[in-house]
Amino acid sequence: MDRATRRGLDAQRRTLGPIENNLIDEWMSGAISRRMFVRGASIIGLSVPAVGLLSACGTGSASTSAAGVLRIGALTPPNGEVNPYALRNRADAVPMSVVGEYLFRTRKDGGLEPELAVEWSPNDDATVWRIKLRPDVTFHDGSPMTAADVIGSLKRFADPKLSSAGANAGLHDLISPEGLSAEGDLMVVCRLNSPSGTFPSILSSGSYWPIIHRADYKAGTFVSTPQGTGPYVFKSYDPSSGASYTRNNHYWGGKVPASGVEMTFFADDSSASTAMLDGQIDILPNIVYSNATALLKAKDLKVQSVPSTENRWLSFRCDRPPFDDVRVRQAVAYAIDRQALVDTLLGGYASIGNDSPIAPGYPAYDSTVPQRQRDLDRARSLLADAGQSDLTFEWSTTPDYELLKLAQLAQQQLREVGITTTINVQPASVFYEEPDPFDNYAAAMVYGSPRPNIDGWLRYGYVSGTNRSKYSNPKLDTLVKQLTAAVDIESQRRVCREIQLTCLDDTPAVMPYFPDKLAMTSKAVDGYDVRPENVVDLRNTSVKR
Amino acid sequence: MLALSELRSRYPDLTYFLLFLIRRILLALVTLAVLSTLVFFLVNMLPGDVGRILLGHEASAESVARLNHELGLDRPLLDQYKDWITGLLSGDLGTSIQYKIPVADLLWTSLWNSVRLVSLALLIAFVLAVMSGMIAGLRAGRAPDRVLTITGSVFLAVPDFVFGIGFIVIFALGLGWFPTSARIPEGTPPLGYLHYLILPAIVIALYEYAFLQRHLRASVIETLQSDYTRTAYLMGGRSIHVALRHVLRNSLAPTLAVLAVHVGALIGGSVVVEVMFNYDGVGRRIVTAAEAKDFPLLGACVLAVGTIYIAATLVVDIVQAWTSPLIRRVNG
Repeated sequence: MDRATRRGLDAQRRTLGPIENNLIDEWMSGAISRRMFVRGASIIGLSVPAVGLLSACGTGSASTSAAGVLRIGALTPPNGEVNPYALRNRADAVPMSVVGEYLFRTRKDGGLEPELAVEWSPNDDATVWRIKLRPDVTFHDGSPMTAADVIGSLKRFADPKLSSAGANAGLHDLISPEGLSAEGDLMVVCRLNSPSGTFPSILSSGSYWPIIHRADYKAGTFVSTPQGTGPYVFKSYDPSSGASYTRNNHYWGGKVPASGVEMTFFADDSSASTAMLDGQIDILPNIVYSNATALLKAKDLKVQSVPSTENRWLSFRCDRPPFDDVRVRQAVAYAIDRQALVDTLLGGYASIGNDSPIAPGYPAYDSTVPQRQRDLDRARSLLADAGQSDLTFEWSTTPDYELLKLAQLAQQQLREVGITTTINVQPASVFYEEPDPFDNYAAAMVYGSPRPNIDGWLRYGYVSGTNRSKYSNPKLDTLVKQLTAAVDIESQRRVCREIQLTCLDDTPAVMPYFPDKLAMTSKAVDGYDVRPENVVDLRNTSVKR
Repeated sequence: MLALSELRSRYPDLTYFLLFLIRRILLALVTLAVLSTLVFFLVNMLPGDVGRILLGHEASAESVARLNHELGLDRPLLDQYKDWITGLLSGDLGTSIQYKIPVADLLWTSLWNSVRLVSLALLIAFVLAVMSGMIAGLRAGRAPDRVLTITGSVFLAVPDFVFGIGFIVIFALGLGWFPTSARIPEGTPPLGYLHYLILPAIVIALYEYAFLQRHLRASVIETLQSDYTRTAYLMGGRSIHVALRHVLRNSLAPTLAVLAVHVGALIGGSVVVEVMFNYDGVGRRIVTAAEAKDFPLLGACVLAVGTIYIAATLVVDIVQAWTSPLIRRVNG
């Protein structure tokens, strides 16, 4: 680092708090890599100039080359309302992400970059977050975006009465309306009900798609009265066929390269694939490998992949035989050949799992934890010790993604150690029916959505009293609380290591792999980057006809 | 009653026809009422929780219960049914549970799309079936009849998705003549619709063609053996004249009746083709509404298809009654 850079950095450091300076110290001492530094900086909201000085990392701006209308395919038509605070699945979120924006955007490496927020920082114990907003942002109707709009949006996200996606995710436990306040037009102060080091992640594009909307927003008016802040404006929307958008000529990021967007909704993967092969669409995000093998072989198309935190999950009922015995759970885990699953089912487009939900794509993932390898002798020995040498059990799954093929392949692998399984396939609507989908089976093979905040996933799947596999370990409960409160990346990684090891020992679930996020584009498309999230970012994307 | 008996004595044919008409319309209304009741209760018997379907499997049980309450789905089933029927009778189809927009907006778009596609398919099927049915019937047992009969059997036996895949691979991906998706882009002129609809329409038409062609062939053979046809030939009528004026005309009536019945079935039953060609028809709409247990939408779609089906059969019955005194007297 030259003298001028160091002088600039010192000036920046004087304005930063202890958490931010700790992160900088870790990076400068070589304790963390540049990648980890950038991820950590994005989570705690280290200011852009400081990050830029250290890593030459910028946010990029919209290119201005002329191009035509982008044609995008969206897999599965939306099945919910057009409502910026109640997007409940990716089918609803994708068309909205063209017009709406978030405070924070998930980067390709899993970190965060500024979108409608420009700086964000916590207090020492991460109970208060100050979020500085981008100036000169206007909604599509011309009104300026202010702190009042962000506070109004946050209140709706956290309102349990509105059945919003954020409330469903437990955001109402973290935010109370009285804890939100504004300092001027461009500063939002969030006093949380409990510490959260990953608060910005929860409000990011990779989370529950919390689109910032007007404070006086009325449900059901998002298409008729355009109210987003994004680069494109709704022109028309039909939940069964598609949506069309025109360029937002007053976009804060400058003129976007494409003149508009045409989005087509496809009810199944094969019709989307044929449309892509036929050249009717330019971009197909969120493709599932097992349903798109023809696409992946096409020479005139480009495939993009990025490690994701999405998971596949063989969850055991830990409160009753046979899986109340940890040896039996471990035996199943040792009998699984993860690499074979990844190669066969996903053509290598996945990260190998290590029976914890902390994916390699998480900033705080500890790669030094030993990887569980297939060990058939050990599996047989564990089964014999547990008196379950002829183990037979029934598990359930749904036909979503490649879950059924995964269950069938795992069934063959388990047979090699004498485990006999029966697979029960049910439609998702039946499988997840209340009161408890796991009640009738010893185990279940399900999928988990990508989440930028791992503590949220742990609370859902592992913390005592909230998980459906009835797993309970007070040590893990404490670790999850510590992780939620941890702000700096090093302490997050320390806790994550403990969690990874605890999950490995207890094996409440087998996590064989984390599928990559895949997207296809035609060669005429430029400036589209797949990210580890379900929505699309078209700010820099253009197509040449 | 006196007036009716007077009317019957003065205008017997007209009276029987009017009685027949009233009876059929009343029967149609009863059928629709039974259909709506059946649909409502059968949909509610489907497994799956609406709140869970909408919120996803990662939502908490409390959130699911809250949404179900918000949607009024935790009320007694009879109360829900009463509200729905009351709305229907006042012309309000309700609001879609999943999209939170009026059902009418979704229904008319899908219904119009289906009518467009099915009309084109039936037009193709009918024209081809009339030509080949006549040839096969007039040349029964000879080479043209055998070729046409075997071809028709193939069209009947092979599922529509096989033809769909084949057409997409050959005509869309291979030759590039047509798009793989039947979705018509905004701003396309009406004549341009044909470019998008022709492939799915042909896939639907193949089965219908084969069915109608077999039906017409049988009718033609039967008509050829009738006394009036023989008389027409014996009177020295030209073959083509007899074929068109006597044989085709008399053979078409039962075929048209079959065609009308198929209209209703095709409007709501072309799901496979609609999904394959990514077309927003009412069949696909029914499937997605059923998956989400979106009862207001599903109920409206099923009732719309049922109404079309009943209306089509009613029209056929009326036409037949108008032309056949025997039918209207028996039924009236």
